Amino acid sequence: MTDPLDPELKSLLQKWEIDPPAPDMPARLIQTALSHPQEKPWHIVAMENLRRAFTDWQYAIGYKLAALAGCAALGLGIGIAAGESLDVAGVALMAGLGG
Amino acid sequence: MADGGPFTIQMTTLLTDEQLMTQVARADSAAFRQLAGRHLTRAYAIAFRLLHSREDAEEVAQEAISKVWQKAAAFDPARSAFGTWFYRIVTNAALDRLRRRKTPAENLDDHAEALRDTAPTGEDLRIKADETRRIRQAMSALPATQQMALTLVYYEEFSQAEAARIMNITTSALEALLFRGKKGLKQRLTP
Repeated sequence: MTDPLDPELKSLLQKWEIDPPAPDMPARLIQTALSHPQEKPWHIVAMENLRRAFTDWQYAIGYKLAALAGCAALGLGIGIAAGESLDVAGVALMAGLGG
Repeated sequence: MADGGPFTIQMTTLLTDEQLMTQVARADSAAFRQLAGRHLTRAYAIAFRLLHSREDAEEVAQEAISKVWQKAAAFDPARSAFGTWFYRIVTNAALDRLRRRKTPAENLDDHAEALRDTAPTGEDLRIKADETRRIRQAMSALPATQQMALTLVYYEEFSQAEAARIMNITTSALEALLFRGKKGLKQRLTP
């Protein structure tokens, strides 16, 4: 990139010296900034929530799995027993649907 | 810096802004201090050139550096360099503040008056103060974006490509702003 600013204008502009910042400005500004909480982007917050939910779900996992297995066994048992004794034609006859 | 050992000093000065930002994202306040120390004075200078007020310039610098701390985790070095990201926050904050001002000329006059009152009495210093006021008034008469372009390129010595990225415009748009800005300044400053 070229600098097309002519030297006369450039030297004139350089005469504008700004008021320097207060000597304690950086320390003060940094301290104020640090007093704010840091924000996290949404995907990190979502991952944290998911991780927390999973950790919570893992609480008493042994009992939960045992209960689940018990329910499954009970359901399977009832299902098999019902399947063996169920006589569709008999039920229909009893209900008066038979010819 | 002073409270760290030589090893700490050597290590931190070697880190790039982007590396420091990775640490800042992990709430490392020492890395934040280091990073802020590198950029705060320049941020203040940019804001001051546009706003002509120490208080306003400090507030802009505060706003920008607070955002760096708060949103550190959102910074993505793959998308932009830290400097581009940070000075874009600074320029946007300064431009917003300038646009919100109802009577910028009034502020400028106040400041010029204060300058006259506090300036040392020596003739050279008085001439210098008058020149400063003249340049500042000429700059203030320009549209805000032209002022910002001139400030970034001619005062803060960013390359035109960097300044364009900071202002989120194309290089040709920046060149146009500089051209018009220089033309406006020349009209006001040269007899």
